[in-house]
Amino acid sequence: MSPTLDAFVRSWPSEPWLVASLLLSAAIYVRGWRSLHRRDPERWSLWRLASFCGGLFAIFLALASPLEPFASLWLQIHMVQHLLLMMVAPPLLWLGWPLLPTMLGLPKPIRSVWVAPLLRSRRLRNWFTRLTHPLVAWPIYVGVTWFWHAPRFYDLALSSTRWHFIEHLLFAAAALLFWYPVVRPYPSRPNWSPWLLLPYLLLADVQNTVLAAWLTFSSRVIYPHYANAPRIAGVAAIDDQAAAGVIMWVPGSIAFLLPLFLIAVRLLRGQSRTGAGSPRRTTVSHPLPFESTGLLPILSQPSRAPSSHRFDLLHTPLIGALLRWRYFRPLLQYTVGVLAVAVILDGLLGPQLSPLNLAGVLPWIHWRGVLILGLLIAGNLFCMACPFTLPRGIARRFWQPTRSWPRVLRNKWLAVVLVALFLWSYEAFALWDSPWLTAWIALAYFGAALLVDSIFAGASFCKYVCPIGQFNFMQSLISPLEVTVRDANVCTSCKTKECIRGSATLPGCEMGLYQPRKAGNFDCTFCLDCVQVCPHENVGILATTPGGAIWSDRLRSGIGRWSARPDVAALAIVLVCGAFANAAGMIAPVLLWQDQLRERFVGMPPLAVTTAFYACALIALPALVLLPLTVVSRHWGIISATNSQVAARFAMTLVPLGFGVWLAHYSFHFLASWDTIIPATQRFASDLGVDWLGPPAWICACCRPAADWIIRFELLAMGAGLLLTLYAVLRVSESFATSPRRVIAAAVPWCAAAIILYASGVWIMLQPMEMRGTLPDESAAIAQQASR
Amino acid sequence: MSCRNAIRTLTFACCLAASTLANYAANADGGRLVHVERVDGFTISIFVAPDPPRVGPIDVSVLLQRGDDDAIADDAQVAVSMQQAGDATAFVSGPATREQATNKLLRSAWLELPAAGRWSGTVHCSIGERDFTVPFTIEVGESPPAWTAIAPWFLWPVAVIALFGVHRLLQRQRKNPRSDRSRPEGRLLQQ
Repeated sequence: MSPTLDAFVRSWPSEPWLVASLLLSAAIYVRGWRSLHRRDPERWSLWRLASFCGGLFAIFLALASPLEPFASLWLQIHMVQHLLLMMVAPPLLWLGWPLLPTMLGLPKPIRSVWVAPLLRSRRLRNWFTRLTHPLVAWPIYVGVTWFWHAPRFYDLALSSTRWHFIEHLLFAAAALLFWYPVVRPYPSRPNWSPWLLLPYLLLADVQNTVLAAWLTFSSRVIYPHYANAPRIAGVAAIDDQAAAGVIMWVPGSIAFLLPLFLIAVRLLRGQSRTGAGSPRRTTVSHPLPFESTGLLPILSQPSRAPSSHRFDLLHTPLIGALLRWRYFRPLLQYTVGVLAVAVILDGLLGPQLSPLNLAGVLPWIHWRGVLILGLLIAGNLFCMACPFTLPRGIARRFWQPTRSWPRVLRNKWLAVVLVALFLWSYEAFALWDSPWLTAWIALAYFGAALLVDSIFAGASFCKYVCPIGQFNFMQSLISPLEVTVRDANVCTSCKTKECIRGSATLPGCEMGLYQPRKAGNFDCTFCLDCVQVCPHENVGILATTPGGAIWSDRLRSGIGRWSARPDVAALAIVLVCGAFANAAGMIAPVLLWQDQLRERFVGMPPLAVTTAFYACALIALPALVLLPLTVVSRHWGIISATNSQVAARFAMTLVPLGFGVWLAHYSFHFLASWDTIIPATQRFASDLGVDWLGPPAWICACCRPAADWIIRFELLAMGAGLLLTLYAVLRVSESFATSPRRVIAAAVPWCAAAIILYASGVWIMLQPMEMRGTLPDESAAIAQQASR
Repeated sequence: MSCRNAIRTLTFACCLAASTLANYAANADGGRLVHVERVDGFTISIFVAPDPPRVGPIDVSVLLQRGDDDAIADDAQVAVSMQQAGDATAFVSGPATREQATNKLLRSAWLELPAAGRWSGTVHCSIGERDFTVPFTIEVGESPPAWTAIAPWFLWPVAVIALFGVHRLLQRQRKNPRSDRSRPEGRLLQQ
């Protein structure tokens, strides 16, 4: 094999996203095609499948094969690439009759909610019909072809990846329009004469011949890029150009003349249709007659699966069995408890340098990251594994408290204060940088849980006190799973109500959540006591709509309605604002601003600056903004509900955006510094006399720049949060306002606030950040040397 | 539209947006040919991407051919160094290898240029016992603001919002009996 050919076959560009897109398209088509093939194997033959997949493969060859890197060196290769995109892939795709298989292959909600309205839109259908009319498609195709073959624009595409992408996109789009009337894929039924296709294809071949002849017979190299390109395998630029012209001429002519011949034969035999859908020719102007194509039933299928079909985590083979096992939760708690003890011991007795200490990395980098990712993919997993309630569980074997939590405190106001204090103290006392304080916080948690729950019955600590629990309850509103009943009818006939009352051997819900009236994950610790105690096995961990509980104001067991809970709304606002304040506290501009403030007010202690910052971010700013937003929203939407009700409902809608920021922030630390746990564990083990883990690999604790994909992930997370918030605002607004115009008017102020918050979040994430809990490069190197 | 559908659609839209955005990032090496020179019986072609080069990572690809028959020189060691004119401290260098190149005819080096201005580059080639260098210069422009490179990643919700707006509009049109029921296919769709 020649070296050039050898290099060619090894030059595969990395295009994972293109390949993934093509595979996804193929999978959707195949799914729909299989269903159609079962109903009518003659019409939906294997050949249709092969055509469509062949079209996708042609795109793959054009853009993700060695043709792509060699196109900039050889014009003939570039021409092959364009032929694949313009003359091979589009007709093959249309020959696969993609509309119905793709429709059927799409998930039902996408099909019925998004695609069906688009296909039903008369305006869009008219547009497409006009664009694919031969008199329109031909000039578009020829115009695009000649435009991009002009030397100036051809060179522009070769010099810029982005322009090259646009060139290919336009080529493919124009070619899809051009080949549509030729193939007339089922169920299209054009209202123009098929005889029009004869001049259509003939003239297309003529213009192709003219362009190809220009390239073939030109005495000079037309494109400067190829004139300057190095000679590969001894092929001169002028010869390369002539070869490109021949490729365009001969295969191009075959591509136009072969269908011309076939269509002409068919027309002469008296068949007016090439698409083979319906034999009769129509004179009606409806572009897509759904009733005759079988598309209407597909589009009209209900989008929502029955509730019995919801995914249930408890029914999954391995995880389900584990979760149903009675001792699974204690096992989790003891495991996390051991880690907590290690954190306390190392925090109190180990080196007081955060990256070297388990108490410096495990809670602030790993636990927070795992917590938020757990909330994203499953639910409130930390409360399920919470070790702080272990001592109280042991104590309650000997002592059963009988007192009830004070009525005046049966709300979230105490928790709001504690959460705000926790967020403030994290920054004010640099908790992430103090293993000793971290250890004391963990100890305080054990002590507080034991004390509160030794005095008061139920899970008073979890429900009314624990700041971590409040964070988890609020963020788990976005989780995709919830503990809920499988069949409401079973609960209606249940007389014993063990899920709330408990049985002789097992407790009921200590959080006071009565399963049949429970909605969403708020206040649910995922303890699974209800799962264990239900005699009908009617409680599961079912899939739910992330955020769905936010815009519903139904009466919830143990909580009531959102509109009647200003304390819950305040908790939501503190956690949303806390997300931004917490992330802003570690970026360079905010740190600089704090320094400037200290310089300006000489003698102002850092604690005062941090306190002022948090007082502004968590109390003053929300208070100043919420009232005008509520008043404007009520006024514009002409809402009859009270200010408090409106503020409480809309405040909850900001939770998804806050979740996006928490996710971006915590996952940034976790994903960028996950391996800091390795040297800290090695050091801790070594201190305990366990040497088989080896000497600490301090280089893993070193501060490194975050990978590009992490910032992209952060922005995607915040964007998704924004969209969910905007959707929640719309739904809440719909529940208040009476007409579409008022719905929009009531939503506008809150949407504006969400967008401003999102913009500030993006700004924060794009700033240089302190890599807390990691060692500077030099320190890591010194430590590494010292350990050797 | 039910909320579950909205979330599924959002997920689907996120996947589509991510795949479209990521396709933009695909970039083959090669770029613009900035210099060709025949030295010691070899032809060296130097390509630089992006075009025009800007502050930040740039790709310098080298095509090394034997002068007599344009065959690719396989047994060469190639390195690229770049120095900013008038600033001796601004110096970057790196090996150019086939492994880093998409087009395996070329040898590619990724260099991080810290400042704008005129940069003098040198390609160092070693073939057997022969060593030679090829100088070239490029004008490096200021990098666009950092946010522009990442703009699609935070502006994508705008596209989803626009799509949602269109969807709502179509849905409203569909619910409006005046626009649909008067037409035959409108009646069919109402069934």
